Amino acid sequence: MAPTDEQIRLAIAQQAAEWFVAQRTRSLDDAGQTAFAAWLKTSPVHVDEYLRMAAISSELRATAQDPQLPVAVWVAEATAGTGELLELAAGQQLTSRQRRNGRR
Amino acid sequence: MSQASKSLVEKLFTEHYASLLGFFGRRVRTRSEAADLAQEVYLRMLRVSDPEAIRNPEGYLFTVANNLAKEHAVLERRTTSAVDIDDAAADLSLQTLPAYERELDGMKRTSRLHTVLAQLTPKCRTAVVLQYAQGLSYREIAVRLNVSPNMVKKYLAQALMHCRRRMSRLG
Repeated sequence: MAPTDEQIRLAIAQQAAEWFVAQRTRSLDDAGQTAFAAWLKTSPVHVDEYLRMAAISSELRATAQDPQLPVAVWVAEATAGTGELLELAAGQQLTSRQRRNGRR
Repeated sequence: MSQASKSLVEKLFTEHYASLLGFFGRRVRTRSEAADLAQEVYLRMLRVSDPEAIRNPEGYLFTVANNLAKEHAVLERRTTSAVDIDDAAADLSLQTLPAYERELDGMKRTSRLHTVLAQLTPKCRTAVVLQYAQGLSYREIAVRLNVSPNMVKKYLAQALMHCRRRMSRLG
């Protein structure tokens, strides 16, 4: 079955997201920049999707800076595994939850 | 846009990239924001069809950069008060924003984006927050999350793509 227009759009959007991240993390060497320019020139849809990523990125920045977001909780959740390892490495007492997990 | 003027834009951009970064660097809070804006100048230059602009390309490059810096200041002013803003920027109308941003505006973007952020996986969401709110580099984020730098890039692209999908579903 041929892909729909929407599927093609989203496939280009996926590429745009990857290029956008590569650009903003400065991950591209000269060859990468040339490949990016070639990708961008493929069609106006490519340019449009790339610009959408730029717009989404600036919206995300504005949203992520909202003081009402439970940022500290999110960071703690996502880094919990690392924190536990660091605690263990430092020889600190295990929390009761970790002790339970350890016994299993 | 013709090939000739496109390569002119590329040449201009390459020559002036450092000064563009410096220009934006004095006006925004993080280096990655400055890089985003410099990138956006390039894309706007590519869309130029006005031959007037090409007669004084360097002048035009910095006119585009200046306009973008003002738009950025207006956006920042709307979202946070912690930035030092050029007074002139306050007068600038939001009319100058590209059409797709106005389109987003009409969709109550901020509250929607809160919801969207909450839908991401914890590591993906945290990569976004550490990058945008705390200005960490992707390498620093990788250390914090205990994943590879490439994984951080995947998370960031995933977050953009998730927002993009939501846009198309509702838009």
